[in-house]
Amino acid sequence: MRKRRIFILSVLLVAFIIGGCSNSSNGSNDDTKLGNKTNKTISMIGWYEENIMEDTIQKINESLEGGYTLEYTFVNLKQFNNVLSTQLAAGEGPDIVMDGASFPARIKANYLLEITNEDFVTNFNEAGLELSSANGKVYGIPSYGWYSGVWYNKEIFETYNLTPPETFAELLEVCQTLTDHGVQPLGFGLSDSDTAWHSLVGYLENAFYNGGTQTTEFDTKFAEGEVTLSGNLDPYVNEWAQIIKKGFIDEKMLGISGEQILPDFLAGKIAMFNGGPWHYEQLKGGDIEFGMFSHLGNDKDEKWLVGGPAANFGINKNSKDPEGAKKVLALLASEEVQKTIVESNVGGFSYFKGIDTEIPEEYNDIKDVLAAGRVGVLWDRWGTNMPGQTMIDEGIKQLQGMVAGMTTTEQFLKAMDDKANSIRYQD
Amino acid sequence: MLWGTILFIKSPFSNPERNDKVKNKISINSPYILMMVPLLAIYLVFYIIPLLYTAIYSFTDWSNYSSVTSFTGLNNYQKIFSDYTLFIGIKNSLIYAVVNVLMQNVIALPVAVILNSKLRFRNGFRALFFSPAVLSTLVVGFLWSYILTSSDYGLLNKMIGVFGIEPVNWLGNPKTALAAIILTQVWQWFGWAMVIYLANLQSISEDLYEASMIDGCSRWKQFLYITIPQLAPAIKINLVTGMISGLKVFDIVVSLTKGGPGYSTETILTLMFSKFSEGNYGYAASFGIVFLIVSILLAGVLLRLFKVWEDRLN
Repeated sequence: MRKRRIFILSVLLVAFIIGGCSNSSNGSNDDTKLGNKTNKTISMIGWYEENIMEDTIQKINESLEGGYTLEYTFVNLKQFNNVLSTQLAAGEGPDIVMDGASFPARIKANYLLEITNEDFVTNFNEAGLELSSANGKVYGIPSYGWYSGVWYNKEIFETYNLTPPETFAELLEVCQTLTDHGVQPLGFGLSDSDTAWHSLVGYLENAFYNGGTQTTEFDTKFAEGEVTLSGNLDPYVNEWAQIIKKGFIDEKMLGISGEQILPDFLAGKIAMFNGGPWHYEQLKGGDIEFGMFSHLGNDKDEKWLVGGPAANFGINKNSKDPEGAKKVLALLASEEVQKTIVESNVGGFSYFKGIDTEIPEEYNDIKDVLAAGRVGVLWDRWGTNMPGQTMIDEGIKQLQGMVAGMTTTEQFLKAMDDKANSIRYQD
Repeated sequence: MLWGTILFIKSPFSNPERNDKVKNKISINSPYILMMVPLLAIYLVFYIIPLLYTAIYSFTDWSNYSSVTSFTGLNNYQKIFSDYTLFIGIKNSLIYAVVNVLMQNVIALPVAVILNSKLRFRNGFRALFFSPAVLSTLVVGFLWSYILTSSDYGLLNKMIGVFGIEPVNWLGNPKTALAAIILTQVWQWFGWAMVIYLANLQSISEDLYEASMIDGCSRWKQFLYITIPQLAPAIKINLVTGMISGLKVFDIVVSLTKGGPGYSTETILTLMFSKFSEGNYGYAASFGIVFLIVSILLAGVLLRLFKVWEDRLN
């Protein structure tokens, strides 16, 4: 009798352990959830915090028909890629797939439903669908447009009779003037942030692709493995590296994290730092006058911002309810929801035809650039045939090496080529 | 093991007399064997099966970017050994494990001996030195990133500045970054090693010290010839577990340097994690297998060395 009891207890314990390992329902596993669970729940995970997504989810749930409810789960950006990748690789994951630079990788891996013939796709302009299209087919829609530029302290600029620079050479001059007056010109937290990488990419976007010797066609060829960065980008990277050689980016910055820059900027210790609209609220909460100017190259009349479609939304091919997911996607593509998304991301712009967003005065210096649609980024173009995020990570690492004096321009470009060679989809 | 025993009992070729003995043994031990089943199930589900899958995946090209996975033989392993970052990872993991474990124990042992004496407030000191081990390593990393930062408000640089020493770029200089990481971990974990030494010290018979004093032995000689040999079990535990956990270092690197600047503080596990993040699961799995082999080899060498030492002591 005693043995039987022990046996039953053991079996129950094993069942409990194995039961604990089984999946719940839709792969959404932690953190914050928005929306009430019903029998017809459509799931979506993303890295936008609940205060940003709250209005969007509420608007969708108000309009959703057929008894559906959209449930949004926040996952920290640092874990997001791994969480989503693992779920999709297991043939599961959320009904609505949300992703940024890795969206083309999701298309390539056949995780997304094609939506080319859906009416709502025509709501967006071509640039907005660039990241979510492959071989003439559309697999997703954009949320809003993101971009990065250079935040500057207007009071410091006024003190030293400076105006926002118009070319990269002028930027170096401004930095020198500020340095001569004992002001740190640029703030970079290079231990964990991608700001130096943005600075380089911003220069390339302006000097190499637009107004330079190449067009963005170069990136298409690079993505396909037909050209290399090494041997083509050397003079441009060398030119940008003046910013390191002149000491405006120095080794000390490698020991500082990205989030440690903002307090110094708000305290007036730093005159400029690379960033984007995601810094706006914190900057607004400070006690300084600030503005943003574009990344710079050699042409003062045609400046380009680094950016592109932020998160894209698509339908998981393994969704248990593709019809419900399609209803949600249609609402995400509606004018009302797209407006809400842009309003929740102050300073961002929309790819929805006809939505013109008003941007705060701090963006006055880049208004023309935004109006002309001069926003682009090379890793989105590389992403058609390789995981863009991996190239970003490699770029950040190699630039750290350049700042530390361990890596030359040639080694940097060679390492980027080697990385690309090892991760191309068509290899 | 259980199934093996059952099959053995049922085998027609086995000896009936021996079978009865084994049956009796199983009958006596069956409640205990059954009680072990849940633990074995956990071990099977969370270790053996994932390990087997990892080994299998390491021979495939399973990635995030293809819906088709095919067997690629030794391709991943060939790729690994032409990947210069692997050697950086192995080198850093070994340096971290060896230096960290040595420093921890060099500090923990004398501190434990001192705190084993009849010192005032010794319990308070014990709690104080052990307390960092209670904290999450990620939290420790976050705290130390502010202490070690090269920005103007870096606490450590301010402290050394009082003595007229120039600020040091602890985490941003490839030459000091790994040392800075080790420093934080020695601070966090030497108290753990100290507690193990304390437990062992309290089991050493006072008679040994009394006899040696009668023989005119100095304190130093007592330490060398009585304390150290008697602490062999604690030294073994501290060094072997410290070395293995040192090889597995991951969270403190991620929270302090993310493997940078460049690749200068990457370890095997941070590299493995980045391969997983890249979506190259097959390739990352082969990193895991290489790591397992390195760990087993190192643990084996250490255990062998200890056996030689213990034999010599005996």
